[in-house]
Amino acid sequence: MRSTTVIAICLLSGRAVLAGDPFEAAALAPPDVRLFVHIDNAARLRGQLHNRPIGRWVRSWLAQGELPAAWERLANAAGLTEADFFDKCLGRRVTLMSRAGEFSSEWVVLTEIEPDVSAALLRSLSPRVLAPSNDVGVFHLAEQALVLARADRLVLIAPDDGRGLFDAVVPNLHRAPDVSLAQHEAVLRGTILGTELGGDPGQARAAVLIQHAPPLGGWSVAVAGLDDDRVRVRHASRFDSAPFRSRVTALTWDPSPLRCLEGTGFLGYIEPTDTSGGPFDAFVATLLGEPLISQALGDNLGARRITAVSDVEGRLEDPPFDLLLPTVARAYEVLDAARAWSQVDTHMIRLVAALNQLGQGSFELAVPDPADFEPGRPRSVPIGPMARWLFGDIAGIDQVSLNWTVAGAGGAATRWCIVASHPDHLDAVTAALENDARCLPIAGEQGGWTTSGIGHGRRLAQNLASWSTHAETLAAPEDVAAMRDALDLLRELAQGVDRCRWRMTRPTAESVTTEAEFELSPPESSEQ
Amino acid sequence: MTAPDLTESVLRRLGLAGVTPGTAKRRRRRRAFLRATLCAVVVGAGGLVVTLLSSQPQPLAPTVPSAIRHDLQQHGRTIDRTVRTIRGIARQLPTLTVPASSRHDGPDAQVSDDGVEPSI
Repeated sequence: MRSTTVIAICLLSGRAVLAGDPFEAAALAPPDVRLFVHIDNAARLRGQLHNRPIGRWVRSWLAQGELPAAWERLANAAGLTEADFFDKCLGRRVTLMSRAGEFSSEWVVLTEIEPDVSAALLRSLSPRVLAPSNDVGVFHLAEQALVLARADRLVLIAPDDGRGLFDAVVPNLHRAPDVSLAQHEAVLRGTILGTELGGDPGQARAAVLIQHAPPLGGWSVAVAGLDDDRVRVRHASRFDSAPFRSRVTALTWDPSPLRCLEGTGFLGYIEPTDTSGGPFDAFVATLLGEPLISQALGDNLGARRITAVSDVEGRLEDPPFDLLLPTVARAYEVLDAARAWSQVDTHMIRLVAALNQLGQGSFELAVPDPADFEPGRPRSVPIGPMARWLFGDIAGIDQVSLNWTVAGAGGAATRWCIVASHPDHLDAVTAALENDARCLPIAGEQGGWTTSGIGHGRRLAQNLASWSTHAETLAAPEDVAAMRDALDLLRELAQGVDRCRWRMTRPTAESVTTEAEFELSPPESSEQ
Repeated sequence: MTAPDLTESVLRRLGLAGVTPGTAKRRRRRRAFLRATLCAVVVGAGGLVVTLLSSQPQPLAPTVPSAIRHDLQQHGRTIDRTVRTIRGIARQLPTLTVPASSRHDGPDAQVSDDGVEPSI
């Protein structure tokens, strides 16, 4: 109801009208702006991120380029430090807009500065005064190849060598045009997302809008709010040619079992079972001549399947190795646990035989004899030689095994058939999913979700650090340095996020919406 | 009473007789002064032009726009390299879709064209 009201207000007014609306500046933008990025309270955002690992990552990322030096010179010309200059110029409400120009992309930055502050800054920078345009004062700062326009609190900044968008926006500073980006479907949707996100007016918030170029087409819009150490994100996309390969689920299901997996690994996600049959399943079926899930087991499946990624400490293995070896587990909700045991046993025996056939006997995998299986006990078949062939000469790869069990057969509300690449991971996932108390459904969590997931950034960072020291096992000698750089880049980014959760839905085949929450890693000083 | 003899002065004014040394000296000084003044004006004007041109602010590389352009390209390359590097890990997997039946059975099985035969 509230969403409908907001749409009605926006349509009637012709532009976003909500106070504090992150898309307010879209009313000044031409409709062909393809990228729109807005930040509210950027100075507060800078302060909140400064001592956190994510802030350090951003600074180290920026420091690799030329912008810090250029910014420092500009700040010094204004007689300020870089941070003070940022806070004064861009610290309140700042919007970046970009569109495709004749020769290259054109961009402008629209920022809100108190008139006396902007006047003082202009005096310090001594720009050349150009002829006013539509009663708006225009200045040229030749040292920085920038043009500026000032109208009351609004200051528009653009490069002087591609000022097409600047010239299009300047007349709008005094009077919003009748036709603008504000009428775009994505802006209206973004305004609703911003309302749903909520938050107090002083909160640091960001909004992004992208109009996708063909062949993808369509648009994406997202809003985010930072509340102490928590970033909440709402996103929506609609594509002309959707990049998804899986089907839209027809199931309504509850992702609460995912909570059980908190602490058992660095990545976990839960999906409905009616969207399977994607590229991975086809790959396995083509490679082995056996489907990933047998027909019999498929008929016994419930609504959900879980994928959990973790690692094992190689130094505790026998023989030990110096690597955090990733392990994968997949849990399928099953309707009948007793039938699931025989179904999964039969299918795994066929899969191991198919793997042997794939290796033309060279894998020498021991095809298990059902007579050796102990009722109710997890099964394990070493498949190290096959893993070595598939992934290469990686430390600990010989200890990869195919493990499976059926959890919850002892009377738990939900039963799961679990397959994992390491017995310890199988045990951890089994124990987690049998912990009914943590897996209980929460009212309102039922939905037609496409996926829901959790991530543990700092655990992932540990794993990536382990791989970084063994980059030579992943890449050709000439690519080792690039591989290490890539892993370090991802590690530092992961280090900045303690935990994250997300839920995604696909209302139609061409659209997707996401709700995500990121808990940032604490400031480094408070960790010591 | 005799009239003054103006012959000399009339002839000098007509340019038909030489000037007195004093006049010649005065004229030389005046010409020299005019040349010096002209030189000073030319030098001054030139200096002024040079000064004006040199005081016109010129972009100092890197400017903020050029730095943004440069950094976007550089970071784009970094991300591209990262993605390509990570893809490189998985690159061998799609090639495994070659049906097992098409693999070599002979002694050269380890060096097939696709190079993805079991390395064990």
